[in-house]
Amino acid sequence: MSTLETYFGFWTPTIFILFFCLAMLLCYLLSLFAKKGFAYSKNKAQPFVSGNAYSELNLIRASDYFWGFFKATENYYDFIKSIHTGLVNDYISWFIGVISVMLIVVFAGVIIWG
Amino acid sequence: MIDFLHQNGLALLIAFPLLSAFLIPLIEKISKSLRNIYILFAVFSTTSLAMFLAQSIFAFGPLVYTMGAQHPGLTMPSGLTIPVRIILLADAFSAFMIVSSSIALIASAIYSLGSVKRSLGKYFSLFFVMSASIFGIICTGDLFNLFVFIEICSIASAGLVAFRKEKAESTIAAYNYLIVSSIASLMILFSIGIIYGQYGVLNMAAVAKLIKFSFVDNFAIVLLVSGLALKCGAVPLHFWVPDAYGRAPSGISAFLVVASQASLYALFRVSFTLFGAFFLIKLLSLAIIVLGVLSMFVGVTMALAQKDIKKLMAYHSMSQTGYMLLGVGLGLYSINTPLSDVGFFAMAGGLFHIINNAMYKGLLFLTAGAIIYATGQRDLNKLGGLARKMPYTTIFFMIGAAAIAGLPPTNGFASKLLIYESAFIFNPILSIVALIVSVFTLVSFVKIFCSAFLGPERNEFKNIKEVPCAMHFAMAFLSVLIILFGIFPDLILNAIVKPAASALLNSLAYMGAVF
Repeated sequence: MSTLETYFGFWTPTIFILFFCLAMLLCYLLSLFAKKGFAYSKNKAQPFVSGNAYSELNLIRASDYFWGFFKATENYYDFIKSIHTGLVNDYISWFIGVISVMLIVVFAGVIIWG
Repeated sequence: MIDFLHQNGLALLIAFPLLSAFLIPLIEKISKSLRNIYILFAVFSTTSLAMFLAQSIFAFGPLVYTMGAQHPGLTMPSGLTIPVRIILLADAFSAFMIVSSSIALIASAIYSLGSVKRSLGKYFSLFFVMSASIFGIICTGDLFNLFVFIEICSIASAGLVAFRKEKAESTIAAYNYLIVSSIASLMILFSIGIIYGQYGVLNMAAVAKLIKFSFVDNFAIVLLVSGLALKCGAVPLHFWVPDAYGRAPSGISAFLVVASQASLYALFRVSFTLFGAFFLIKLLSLAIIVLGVLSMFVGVTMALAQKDIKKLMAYHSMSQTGYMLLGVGLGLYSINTPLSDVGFFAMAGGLFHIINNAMYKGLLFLTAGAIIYATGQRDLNKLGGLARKMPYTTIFFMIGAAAIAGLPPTNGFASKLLIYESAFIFNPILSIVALIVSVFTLVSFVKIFCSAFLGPERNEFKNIKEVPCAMHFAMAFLSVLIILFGIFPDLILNAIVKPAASALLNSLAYMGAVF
């Protein structure tokens, strides 16, 4: 059995897969108790959008996901999006900035520990 | 034949794809079918050679090839005390990167054969130039040739990013990439010039032996590390990544992951082999760890806010690069400390993540490409219900998404587990950040899955079909590897990852292959 030894312990994927298969089997067995004779019809298969009539216009789209999270972290996103300008001169400025910071840190290190 | 390949394989690994790049347009003049056959032949030959060399290196130790010498192993002709010729040198770390790159090469090439409809000859010419340069970066033992191969890789990559030249965004992305990349290359060249001016050698092993870490050397170290950090797309030098990855054809986006990893290889190689004895190595490793944590967090939070499917995945590439930088940075930090055992596990995790990322990130780019190929749409707001029409692509996407989020039993879980555990010992905050980033990664892939694949069928996608077989084959190939690497992580770790981590730590063995 394949076991990955980590620093603290170990990880055996085969056991995980075994339990996963058991869980799937249990789900299948539970499904056998489901109500028999369900008649599939178009109305029953319609998406449920909080009781509103289905329309492509009221579908939840990618931009709607996690709106609360984005609202709560508005300031972070305002800042992080503002630095992604798409302008190549800004990109170069960041590069020069990083070089400068690293030079200061390294030479400070040389002065202190050198 | 085997002896010949063993002796000359490193040179052939670069020369053969390069030759193929020039042959393909000529063969195309004869017949397009012949061109496609040759492309497949070149891809499988290059991959087979790469795997053969990797196996040789893991079994028998580092391989050396001296250009122009009477014998490939003759690194220093009699009378000389320093290596003056161009030397290709591959140890277990290089072999590990060769395996990782070869997997992505084969998947990207087969996928591209199915997805690229026009100018396939030009496309594969650039593709093979890029492949040759990636193998060049990995196999070179020489600083100047490292710069040359990085430049070739940048130029070929930019050409491929701008491949769909009718789209202005692709051309702008390629232009931005080329400019930013050239400035970084200039800094790398400048730093190599400083080192050459000081010691009169370019060979990495020779530089590692002679370097004194003078005032000017420190300047060179900063320039070299910053230049390579930009090339591998670490935050805050990542700005070119979303545009370049997002606008390149999807087969190339998957291969650009490997190109960035080749720069990551160069960063790790110079950090460990050249500057391993640097008295400020702790400071250098802290810089790598900080870049890693920033890349992880900024990458994933930016990804979460995207609605363009490929840009979203591009930001995740940066985030995953962060894990690698964190793992290997911790390994570098722990050299000659009581935590060196834990550091080794962190490094192994970081390196394991490199090969895993090449597979699942490649797969995810390929699935994104399949969606765009079938629907012509990359805006997640306009996608939906694709699981009904593209069931295979949906399954491949689920496998890739589970792997990148680090869900068991995929390969992503195994490498992330090693990183979480080791990072926890150094500082629990590092581990917590890595875990939060994984949760955000899962959340953002749930967003793609729900908005693109689930939901009711859209009227505009009623007539779409699954993508061609070649594209399916490439995605299936990577999916199978992801699952196998996830089920047998110990085999991969012991066979290729741990030898690579040991080789990276043992700079004396690297130098010993030359001197």
